[in-house]
Amino acid sequence: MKALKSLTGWASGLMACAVMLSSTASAQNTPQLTDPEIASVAVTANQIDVNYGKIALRKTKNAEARQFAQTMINDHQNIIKQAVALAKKLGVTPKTNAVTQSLLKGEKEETAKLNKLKGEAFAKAYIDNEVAYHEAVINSVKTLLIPETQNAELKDLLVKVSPLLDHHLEMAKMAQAKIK
Amino acid sequence: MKKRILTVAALSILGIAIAMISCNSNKSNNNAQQKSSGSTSKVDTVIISGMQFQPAQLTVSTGDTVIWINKDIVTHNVTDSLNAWTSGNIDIGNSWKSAPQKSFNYFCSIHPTMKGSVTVVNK
Repeated sequence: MKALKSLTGWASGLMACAVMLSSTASAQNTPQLTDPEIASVAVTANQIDVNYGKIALRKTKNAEARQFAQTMINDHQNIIKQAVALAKKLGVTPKTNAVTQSLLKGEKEETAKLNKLKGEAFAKAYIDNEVAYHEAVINSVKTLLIPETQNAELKDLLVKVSPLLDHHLEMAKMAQAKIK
Repeated sequence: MKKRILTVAALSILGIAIAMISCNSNKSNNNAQQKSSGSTSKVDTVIISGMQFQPAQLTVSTGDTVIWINKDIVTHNVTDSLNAWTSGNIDIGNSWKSAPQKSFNYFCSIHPTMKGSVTVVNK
């Protein structure tokens, strides 16, 4: 519970949602998210980080934060492109669900918080959120999305995204150490 | 008579097949080793996949060429650890090659957690 409290805004919502769905899935031994729902979660999670990156580029001059934000925009846009192309190929239409809604609710709260900040306070809040965000998303991808995905190609894409997210987290922590 | 003709035909086909295999084998060797001004140079490949350079440590001889192929899901680059040079962006599915004259450490400046090295030894 302490870990949950330490996470901010949407990140805590996502984590709570992931934990809830994971335990339910485990209890009933049936997938709680369908592939169209997982596709929706994947695209939404990536788009949210693109959006945070765009806010950072607009609001900060901090070189570390800007470089990290640009990488997040480029990488997550690349993933969205591949996820959308795969969904199209498979004939899957991403379907909004409880996890997607939790992500969007968290984004709204975090965006409002970030928009109120300026200068180094913004840069710090942005990068702190990126650390929390990636920790929560990595947990959800590994414990919820990958195990519940039925389609092999969609699962393969999520598996390939995992090391990228791990590196993003490491990069976020490196930037966090420099932004104080 | 008929049996003899069949035997000759079978042997001819076998001969052609052996010649073709030999030819393809030479072609493969030529791909890996190119004769250049009297010396043999080799082409080594580094695959970029799963946020790693594979192999991360590579030893080559002077005159050899190294090709980095991006088989990952995002854009990467190959940048000297001292920032003396960079490949520029290597998009998904693209590659970049270099004939290094000396050893170097490198990283992906987009994802600085990705690192590798090339050790160049004299022939």
